[in-house]
Amino acid sequence: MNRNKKNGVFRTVAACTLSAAMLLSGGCGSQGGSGKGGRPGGKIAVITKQPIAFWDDVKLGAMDAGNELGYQIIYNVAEGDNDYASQVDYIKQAINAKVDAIVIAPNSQTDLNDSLQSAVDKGIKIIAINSNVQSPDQNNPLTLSLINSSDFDGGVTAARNVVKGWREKGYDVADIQKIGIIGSTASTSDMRILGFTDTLKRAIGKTRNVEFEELNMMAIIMGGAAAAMGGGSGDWGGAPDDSAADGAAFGADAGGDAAAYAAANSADADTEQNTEELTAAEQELLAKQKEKEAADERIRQGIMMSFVQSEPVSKRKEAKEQAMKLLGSDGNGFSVLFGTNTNATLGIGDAINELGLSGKVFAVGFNTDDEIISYIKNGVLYGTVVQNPYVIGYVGVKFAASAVQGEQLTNHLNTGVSFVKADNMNDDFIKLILNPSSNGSSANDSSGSSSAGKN
Amino acid sequence: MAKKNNKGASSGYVFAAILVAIIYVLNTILVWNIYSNNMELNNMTSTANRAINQINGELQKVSTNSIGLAANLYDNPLEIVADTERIYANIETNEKLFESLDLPESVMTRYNYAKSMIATFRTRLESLGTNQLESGDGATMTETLKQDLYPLQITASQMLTSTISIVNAETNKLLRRNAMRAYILMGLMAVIALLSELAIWFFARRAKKARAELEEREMRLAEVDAKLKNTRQKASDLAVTNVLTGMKNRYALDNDISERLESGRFQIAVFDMDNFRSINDTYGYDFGDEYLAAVAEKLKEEFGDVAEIYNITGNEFCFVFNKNISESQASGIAQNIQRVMSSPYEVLNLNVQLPCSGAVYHYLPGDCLNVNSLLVKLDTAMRNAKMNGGNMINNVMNM
Repeated sequence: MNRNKKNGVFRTVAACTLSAAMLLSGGCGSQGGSGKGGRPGGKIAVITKQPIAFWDDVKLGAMDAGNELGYQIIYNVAEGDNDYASQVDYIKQAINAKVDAIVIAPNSQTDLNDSLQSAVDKGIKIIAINSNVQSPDQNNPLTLSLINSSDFDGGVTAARNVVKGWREKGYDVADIQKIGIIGSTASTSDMRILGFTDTLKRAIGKTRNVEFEELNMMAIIMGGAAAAMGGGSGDWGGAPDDSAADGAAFGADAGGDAAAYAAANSADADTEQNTEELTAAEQELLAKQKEKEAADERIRQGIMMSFVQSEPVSKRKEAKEQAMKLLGSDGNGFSVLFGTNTNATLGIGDAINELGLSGKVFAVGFNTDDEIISYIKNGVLYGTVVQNPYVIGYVGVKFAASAVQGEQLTNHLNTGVSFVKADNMNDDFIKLILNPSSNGSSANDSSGSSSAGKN
Repeated sequence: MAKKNNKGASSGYVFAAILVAIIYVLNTILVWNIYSNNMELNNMTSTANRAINQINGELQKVSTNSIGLAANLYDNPLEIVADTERIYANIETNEKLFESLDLPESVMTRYNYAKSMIATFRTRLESLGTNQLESGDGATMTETLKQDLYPLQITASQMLTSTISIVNAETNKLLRRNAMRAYILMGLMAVIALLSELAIWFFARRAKKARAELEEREMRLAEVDAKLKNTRQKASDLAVTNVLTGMKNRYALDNDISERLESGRFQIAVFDMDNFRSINDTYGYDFGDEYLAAVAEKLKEEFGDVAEIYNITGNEFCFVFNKNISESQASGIAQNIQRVMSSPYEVLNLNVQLPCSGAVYHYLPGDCLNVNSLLVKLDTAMRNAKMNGGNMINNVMNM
């Protein structure tokens, strides 16, 4: 009996040991179950400005980033780019939904501050895209970072490509006659025009051996912001709106004098005044120099006078009318036309097409849609400047996720602009900008059409 | 039957052992598969991360070099330009390395976006050429780089870092899946271990039951065996015992002293009633049997202590004296035997008395080859006594 008992104990111990060994050996492969890069499973709210295709692409980028980085995206879009009330509601909803971060393209610089402050107080990270809010405390901003492309750089890119294209056509930049600008009522227009005119005037001036004063960018930014605030609908970063009613105008004959342009012109005026004073003071000793300066100034004035800006437009039809008014029936001596947004660009294309001036007027625009692309393919327009809304949305969510993970962020990321023309339209990157879903994005099926830069 | 049960129980153990061994081997293979899969994943991830970091770093270097060139920071700008080719070659090498990895579609989507940006960056930078650099138009180049190429580089960098994040997320997803497989395997092994223990317990219980049955059968068999042994003993005893007198018979004598003949020294005697046949003839065989039984009883009573007594034929008794009985003692006891046998006995209410004759043999080692020749010598001596009138004792002469 004793012996039997002993054997039973031995068998039990042996079986348990075997089981434990099997379990342990089974557990050998269970290492590395989690680690950095795992799906955190949080929520990020994305709130954009208005239901147009540009923001569809932003949404697509945001959704892709959410999918790839493991965040649930709660997407909402306001009714229009002055509809901040909806955005306030969306922020409250996001707070109630206990999101980890909010990515917002604000429709107002100040009206969202209280709601955003509530979110920040709850530990929610805020990332601005496209434009920013004015935080009450600049040392403790509401937003951790701004992701957008520069409107000024967009204007510069347009001008630079005008010069390049003009030369490629075998023309001399010095031969550029009048330059027509169809500005929009959107606040983004001012900085685009400023970048365009500043770059183009220097390029033309260079061919005539005159130089222009450097722009005081800080004054421009502050002036532009003041102008934008005066307009009440946008900001310097570029609120997308084809139908915005307000905005600064460019040129001496335009109503509502844009502070940005005024700041630039004031520098020129100072130069003129100083030059005159200097000329007067040293008239006798520097007679020849004065004569040259006067001549240079006349050239500069002449160059500046060659820039003609229309009344700000908000609709395609208005843009076409303004373009036709400038062009007359035979082009009226205009070498270049520049439209600052989608409708302005389409209006220019419509006018050139109707007047049969294709190839005679060198037209560039801003943003794309299917008709603009068609005009470019047909040679009515030379090209257009596009932003990358997909990247803006993607990086916005990526920054939000990084902020949630406690990573340090740069306070501004410029996503850049590209120039689309007939001979680069099929480049991989341009195709990606025009149709982000062609890269295999799966987050959204609503962006089949080209929409880059439709704000 | 018990053997069969026992065999069944042990084959159950063997089966369980083989099953556990197979499961253990299978478990080891699966665990190894998970482990090697994890190792492969980790290697792939680190290669992918390394390649992307290289691409990102090199792209940043090109951007920095370009800005430095535009700002005229380098003593030998053409060297920097030439180095750009090496950097691009390194980028391409790492692109090929990354693309050679078997990575998920989500990773490749993001990577392709970054790659497209890098290609555009390169095209745009190359389109600037060195004209502006050589013509000293650094300001324009700086502006172009700042407004056009720098945003492209930093957004490409964002896409590359996202690619790494996705690679890591996908890797962790697969690692978690492997961990889940390992947990399932562990659970399965636990269930199998439990079932094995149950099987072992079940077989042990069966074996215990079989052993108990076997022990019971063995016990019963032992009882039967004991009975059989007893019966055999009885049968054996009957073979060497005279049924009438209860004394050992001629076969018993043969068994008892055969081995002593060659080297033994002992005293032996035979006695026989003289003319016993007259009793049978007069009173019948039953009476004769009763008479013999009474004589035998008396002989056992009187001489059982000094000799082993055998009833070797009808009325012939053989006395093998104990070892301590000397030759002279034997002769004296023989006379007592004669006296006892010759004394009157009451048989069936009748007094009967017969004289008897006997022979004593002081046996010396090697005198006889067998018991038969021994008895012939004794019988011859006793017959001589009878022929000489009976009622006397002869000695067997040693020859």
